[in-house]
Amino acid sequence: MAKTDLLFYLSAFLFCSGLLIIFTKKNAIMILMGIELMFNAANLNLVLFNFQKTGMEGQFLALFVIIVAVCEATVGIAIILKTYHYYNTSVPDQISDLKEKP
Amino acid sequence: MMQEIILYLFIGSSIASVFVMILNRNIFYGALALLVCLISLAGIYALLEAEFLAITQLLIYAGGVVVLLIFGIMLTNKISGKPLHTDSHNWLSGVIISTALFGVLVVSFQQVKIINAHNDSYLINHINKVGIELMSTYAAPFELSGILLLVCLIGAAFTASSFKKKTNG
Amino acid sequence: MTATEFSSSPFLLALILLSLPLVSSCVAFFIKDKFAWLSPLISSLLLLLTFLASSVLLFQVDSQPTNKFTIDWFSINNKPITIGFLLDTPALLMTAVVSFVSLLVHVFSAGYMAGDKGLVRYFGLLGFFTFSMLGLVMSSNLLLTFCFWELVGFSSYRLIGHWYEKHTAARASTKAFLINKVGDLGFLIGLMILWSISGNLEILSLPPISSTWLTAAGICIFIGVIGKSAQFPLFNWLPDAMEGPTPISALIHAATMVAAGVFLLVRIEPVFTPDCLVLISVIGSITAIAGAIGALFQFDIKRILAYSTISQLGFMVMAIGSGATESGYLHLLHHAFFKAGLFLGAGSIIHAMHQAQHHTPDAMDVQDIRNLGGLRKKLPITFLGFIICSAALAGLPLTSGFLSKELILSEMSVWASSAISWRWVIMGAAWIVTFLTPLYIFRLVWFVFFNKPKNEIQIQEVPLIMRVPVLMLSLGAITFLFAQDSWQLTSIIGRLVPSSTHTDITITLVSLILISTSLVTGYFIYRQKELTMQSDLLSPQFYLDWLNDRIVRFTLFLSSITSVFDKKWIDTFIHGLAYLQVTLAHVVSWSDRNLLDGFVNGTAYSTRGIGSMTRSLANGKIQSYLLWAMAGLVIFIFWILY
Repeated sequence: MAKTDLLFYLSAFLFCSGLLIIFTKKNAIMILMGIELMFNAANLNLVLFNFQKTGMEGQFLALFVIIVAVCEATVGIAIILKTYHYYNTSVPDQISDLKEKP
Repeated sequence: MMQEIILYLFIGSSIASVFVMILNRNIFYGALALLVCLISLAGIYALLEAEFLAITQLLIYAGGVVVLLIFGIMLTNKISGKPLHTDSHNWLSGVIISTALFGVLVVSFQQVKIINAHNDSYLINHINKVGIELMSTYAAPFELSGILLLVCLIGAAFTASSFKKKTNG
Repeated sequence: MTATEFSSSPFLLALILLSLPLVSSCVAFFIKDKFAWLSPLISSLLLLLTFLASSVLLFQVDSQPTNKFTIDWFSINNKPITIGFLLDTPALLMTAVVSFVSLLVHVFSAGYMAGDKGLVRYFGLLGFFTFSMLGLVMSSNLLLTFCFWELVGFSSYRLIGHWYEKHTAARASTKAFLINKVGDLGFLIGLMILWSISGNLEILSLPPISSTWLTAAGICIFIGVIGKSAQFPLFNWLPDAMEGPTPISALIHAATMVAAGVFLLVRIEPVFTPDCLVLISVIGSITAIAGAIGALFQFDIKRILAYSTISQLGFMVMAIGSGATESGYLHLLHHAFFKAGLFLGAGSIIHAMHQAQHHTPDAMDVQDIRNLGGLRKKLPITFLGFIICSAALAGLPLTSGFLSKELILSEMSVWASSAISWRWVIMGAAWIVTFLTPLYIFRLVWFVFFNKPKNEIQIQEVPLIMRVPVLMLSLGAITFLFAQDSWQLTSIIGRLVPSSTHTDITITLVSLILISTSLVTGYFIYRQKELTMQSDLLSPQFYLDWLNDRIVRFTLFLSSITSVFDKKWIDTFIHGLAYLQVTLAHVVSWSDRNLLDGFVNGTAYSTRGIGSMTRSLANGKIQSYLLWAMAGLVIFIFWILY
């Protein structure tokens, strides 16, 4: 069944794209989106392996991954809002209180 | 046959939306592209006999998380008519590393021998089974995830709240 | 040697003797300043015990079967270096003299240094000084001798600079120490050469082999003696060392510091080859004449005595170089007595004048003999001691100085009389010194004791504790002590001085004529000056000023000649050399800038580049951290998989 093989490559592509977004984008919310994309890539993999065997463990694991991802997104957004109030920016590079001043 | 066409459609739309996310400078469009990508993935889940997961994906991700992100975008960018641009950097090294990782993953997947033990069971009611499993085998993780969500809710609300700490309250 | 034999032998006593001054030194450092008056008492008592022990050893020396006790210290190339005592007659005589003079100096210092705020430190170092000198005298090995030699130099440095708040004293002590170091270096090199040619540093068992290297070793060791005993090129530290307390000068000049050099010459006399002895006698004669002339033109009472010491040491070295070793050594012992007496007498005068000056408002330099005069009536006891010691220094009959000087002169005349040679020059130098010595000491005594007092200040005789040492030393300067054929000590001296040596009557007559001529000359010179001083025709210092002026003018003339020569020839040469060097320096600097600096800067730039490259990874941007961490992970995966 060739289509499931194609889906493996799709999950790899999604993961790498999420990684690329995390590397390149400067906005914290965009980084958070990249992280969500990587979660989904992992979830797709889990569902694929669950599809190829009997039983439902993969599905449940994916379910709990979604729950945890939601928690992560919520807390992440809360932290971003807080830092935005404090530093008036949502770009992580500009938050550099601990960096050695030149 | 119809299934395969729909599958390819979903795959294509997700890849396209990911490219939009990477290349577009407007962060709001990025959020919308993520929404498209998540919906496409929900369709793929449904085709892979994970109907409950697909619905959950739609409800939680597409309905919750993306809305939450859009709220975040709204709150952290001063809306003044001009598009919500976000800068980007590290293009060269990021592309090199991501491509290298992609190559590693593709080669690894090609080497994996996947024994397909799947038997066609389109007629089984998976949602029913999921409900039973959730309440029996996975009851403890289920309750724990509920507690996790509560903690997360309180923590996020506390973190984001902007009340001033009263001295000697 | 077993333990019982050791305890019954003289070596235990020698060990106790050696350790007593050290104990005194250690005790002094534990005495609080509040009980400073205890320090002279304890130190003097311990020194008295030392002197008694050395006397016992000296009288027992005949009955001992062995006079050498050594233990192995360490070994180089399977050749052992030993450490121990060598208690033969010269060492024990020196020990007795050193401890006696040191005892008297301790007693004198108790009066002289009373009220000094560094009293405890002074007595501690005095004890240490005595300890070092005793160790040097009794040591059986040249390396051990060298150790004590250095200790002597160190403690004299500390004592000369006792009043270190005075700038001149601090400078003088540093100068003494550094000039001594020059000599010590020579000594050390000499020891190395000696070790490499013979593999043996034991005193009295040094091999009498003759070679060029042995000459070199002898000359090097003699350089050490030159430094320590203030011989010709290196004697200028000794007059400056007069900045120290006067009892210290007495100790340095009489028994400990400068005597160490001559003592060493006597100890290792077999080492010196004939070539080396020529050098020793020449240096000694130059020193003797230079010191005597220096003493003739000084006004400071202590500096006169210092130059006199230089002259006398040169005389002894000259005697040793001429083969009259025993007589030279005898003169060293005699000199210890009368020179210590002279210095303590000078200390008494200075002390008395200082005390008197407290009551008068006008300040003057109490050490300047032009400010002194007529002290014969005011300080009778000191005068008595001083005049006896001066007579001994001048070599008048019935004094110890006469005896040893006649011995030296007669031995030298035998040595020189073979044929007309350079030896006659040395002999002539000895005669000149014999003539000059009474002259300068007469000048000193005349100015201090006989001349009319320059100012009417009330001078009182110094306390008893300071009078007694001077008198005891002057007793030692009278002939019956250490005489050749009387009293009990003759047996010891008799072994020291070969029986074949006898004083030549003609030599005695010639020297007596010289001494009396000298005294008469001095009397007329200085008496006449006394007369002319009142007649206002001539300045009070007529002759000396005139002579000084002549000398200075002659020196200036010489220096102008040399300066012309210097400008015309040497400067041209030096300028040419300098231009050459500057040109060379430019070439070198160009190559330095462009080649060496280029290389160095290139290294620095590349290092800096690598540094900033690696530093840019840690730029504080979280995404970059993540990126490079991921890069590392990918590389890791590649490495694992392929």
